[in-house]
Amino acid sequence: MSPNGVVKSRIRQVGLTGMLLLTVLGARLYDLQVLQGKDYLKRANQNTIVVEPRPATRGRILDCHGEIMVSNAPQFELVVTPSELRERKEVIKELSKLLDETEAELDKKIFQAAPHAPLVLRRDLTQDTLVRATEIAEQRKGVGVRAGAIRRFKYGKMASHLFGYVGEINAVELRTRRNSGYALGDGIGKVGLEKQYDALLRGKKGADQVHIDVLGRTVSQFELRPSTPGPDLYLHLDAKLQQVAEKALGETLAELEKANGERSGGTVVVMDVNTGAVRALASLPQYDPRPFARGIKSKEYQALLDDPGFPLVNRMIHSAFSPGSTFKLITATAALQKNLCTTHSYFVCGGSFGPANCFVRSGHGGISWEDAMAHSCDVVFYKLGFEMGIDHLRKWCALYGLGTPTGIDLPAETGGLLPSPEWKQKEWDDRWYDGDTINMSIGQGFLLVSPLQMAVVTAAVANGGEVVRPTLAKKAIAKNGAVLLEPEPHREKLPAKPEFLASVRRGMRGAVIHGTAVATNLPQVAVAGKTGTVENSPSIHNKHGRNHVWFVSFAPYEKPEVTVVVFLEKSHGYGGGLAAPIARKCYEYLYPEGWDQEKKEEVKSPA
Amino acid sequence: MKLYIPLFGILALLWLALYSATQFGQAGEAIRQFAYIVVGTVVMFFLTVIDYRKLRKASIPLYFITLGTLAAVLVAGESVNGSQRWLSLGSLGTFQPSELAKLTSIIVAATILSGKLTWKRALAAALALGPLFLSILIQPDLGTSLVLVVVGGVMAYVSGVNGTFLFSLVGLGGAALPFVLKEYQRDRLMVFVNPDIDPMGMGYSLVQSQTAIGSGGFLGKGLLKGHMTQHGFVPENWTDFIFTVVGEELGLVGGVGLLLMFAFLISFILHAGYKAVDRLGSLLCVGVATLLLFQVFVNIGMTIGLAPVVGLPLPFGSYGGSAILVYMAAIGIVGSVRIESRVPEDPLSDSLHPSMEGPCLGLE
Repeated sequence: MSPNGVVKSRIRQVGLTGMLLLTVLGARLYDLQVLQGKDYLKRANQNTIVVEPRPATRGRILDCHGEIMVSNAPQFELVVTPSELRERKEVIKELSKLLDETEAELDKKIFQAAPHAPLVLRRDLTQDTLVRATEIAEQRKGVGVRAGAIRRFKYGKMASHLFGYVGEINAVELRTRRNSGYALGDGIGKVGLEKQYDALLRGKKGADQVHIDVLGRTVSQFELRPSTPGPDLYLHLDAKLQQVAEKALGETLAELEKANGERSGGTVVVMDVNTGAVRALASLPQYDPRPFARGIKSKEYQALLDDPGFPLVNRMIHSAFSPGSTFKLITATAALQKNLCTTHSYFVCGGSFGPANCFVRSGHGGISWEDAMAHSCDVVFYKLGFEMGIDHLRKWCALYGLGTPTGIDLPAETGGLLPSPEWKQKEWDDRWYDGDTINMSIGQGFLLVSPLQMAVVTAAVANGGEVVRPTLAKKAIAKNGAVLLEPEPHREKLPAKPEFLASVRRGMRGAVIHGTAVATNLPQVAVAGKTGTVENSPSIHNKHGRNHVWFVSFAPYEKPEVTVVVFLEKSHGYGGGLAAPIARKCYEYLYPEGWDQEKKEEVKSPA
Repeated sequence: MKLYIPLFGILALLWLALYSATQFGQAGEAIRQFAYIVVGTVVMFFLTVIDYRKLRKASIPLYFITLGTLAAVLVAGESVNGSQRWLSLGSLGTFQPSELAKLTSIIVAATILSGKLTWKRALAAALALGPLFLSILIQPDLGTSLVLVVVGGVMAYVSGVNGTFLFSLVGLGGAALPFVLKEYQRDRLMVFVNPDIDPMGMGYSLVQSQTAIGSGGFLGKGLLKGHMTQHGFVPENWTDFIFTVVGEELGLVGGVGLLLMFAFLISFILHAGYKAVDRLGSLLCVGVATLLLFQVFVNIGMTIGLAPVVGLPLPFGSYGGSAILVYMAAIGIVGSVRIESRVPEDPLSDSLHPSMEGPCLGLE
């Protein structure tokens, strides 16, 4: 169809409108450049004003006693302003030698940076580097040395997984945050609490108004808006307890490395069972946060990535494992709730249930309900799991919080894996067998949980049925005293009968007195616990198929306050022998001999 | 040839401006841009020699590819409270599907509206552009989604849709605008009305860009000599504010020169549409001309205080490859429309060769 008259006349109209619009632009240009041109030229020459952001001091991180753990220290940093750079090649050559980075890397960094803003190439210059850097800065335009602040970690490597680190904002992060006050060259929390609470810790930038002349020299400068420093972030963490936990865990891992000839990892958490307040959270091996603070070299970062101990992984929240026998806490609750047994039931273990064996091959013989838990008899739980079926078991897993992240205030937490028949059909292209349920009822098979999820499960058993949300941050207090953050404990009710949970607790207490966890049988405080040993087949990361071991526990038995959960990866051995002694060290710190006397006196004295 | 003189004039002038704005620090950008222009030229001539009527068939796959890449942008990015507009192509740089969507919309709308105009066809065109519009709007990229509306609207108008009806639609849309805008977009409108309310934030860019352009005067300060350009007083002047470089360094002569070249280019495109042998050709040309015109007006208008900051790039000037390729491809399609209309059906009509006539629009 050929264009008709309407089309032609309307094209004419569009053309006329277009020319009119372009004429308007031209007229406005004439107005700006010719009629007002002199005024604008004057303004451009005399009073070019740039607004420079004035960085705010980052908030500190303190423990529950007010002990400063992460703060800021003054330092010198080497900066380059790309647009001012002359003799670019020579400068890059000199800097490459000084900073021990390849010329190509530096060239790329400078090329990608914003042209007019100073780009920090290295923070926290050492004495020697500082001297040489100052020399270069004096000779070369565009290179400078300036004072700044750097994160200071009082306890070195301690809790580096929790604190995380700050790095320079990248293009992707910037794109989504440009409208919330972030700018090129800013630091931003990359992992851990620094990331979780970045918006809080970074404070509010101030602004300086700088007058600059035609040649780019600063004529005057004054403060437009002062910066607001970031608040002090108090954690529930107890730095001393954290040290105790890391020391005990570290020593055990060192022994294991010697015995096994390969590096393994482990993790410990100490948490308030009633509020979810995290008193200590250790994951080893961990990394040194200081190279990150000064700007990590690619070589150093690659070394961390290649480390067979995976030091960048926080095993407490980033990884999920089979829970092993610690899972019997859930199987037990689910069985009692379905009336498959009572707290007074009596079982017979002949050493196997169908094709599945008890870890005591000869069998436990006649065994009571609570002793089945104390001695971790697999056959009893195979039978109960088989009778309740996967749907009922799954329901109780979900109620205890498995399959979803616990919601701790740390980024990138895993929810583990709560398998279902539909899931197996999809992933394995096979149906769900009774054998899968039986396997799962003792915490083997497809189910995967993070150690922190097990801490929440243990806490729920201990506190009588509240699923708590683990929390690190206690409060954030601004410099002017305002409380900016004070998370309320978050709990969800577990629909389990209190007497059933009490029975599970009795079983756990039995494990400590005469069962698998006698290593934590302390005179001064009654501990209750459950051990777990996970059998593994050889795989890429576990060539010898060594066992993982678990220990979940709480104390005091009569009036539970804290839970301690220990997990050791590919450690070999059993939970009772390896993991429980680490928990014991934590309890010894928390409940020194005579603690209950002191407590009673404390109550009496004010009266 | 007429099309290419203003086209390459614009490309050369804006490339010089980019070179000037990035000569320190980001010197590689100008080289990369040059490479894109070369590739774009190849794409353009390729499309010129292909009969544009083949686009009819290509329009459906093109439509779904575009929609797919737009969806990929929404999915592939971690969009928190800003916007996600790019797809990474590794070392080739980035690709902005919303740029492709502009061209796709023109081709799809022209294909649908090229038959006899009925209500059904008009509605079909609106429904086809709807998903493109929405997926760009929620990125969020208000500017580009607005481009689709304007280009689609003008094409509908030229195809014969009742003018009163279209204008009342525009009125309704305008009235709804305050309710759908995000806070920062509303802020931008407010700042446009009165830059002084925020001299340190967004108003700062506007004040600085006007100062830079105004200080250029009649002849400008000379290429590479504009001190506001060279010392970074205009934020992001190598992207959406590239016109400030032209204004400051080349003055009114450079600025009006650029406007004139755009005027010629757009007139020649509309002229090709006027002389096209079918409605498809006419509508394609109208779409491309409107695309260029709207973006030139909004972008340059922004730098001189005549339009709000909506983040639309200057055609042929914005740095980044996908935009250049898309505009060059658009010109290629127009070239094809010209060639096809030039084929004399009757040897006797040779004397009335369309290319012999002067531009008919406003410049007659």
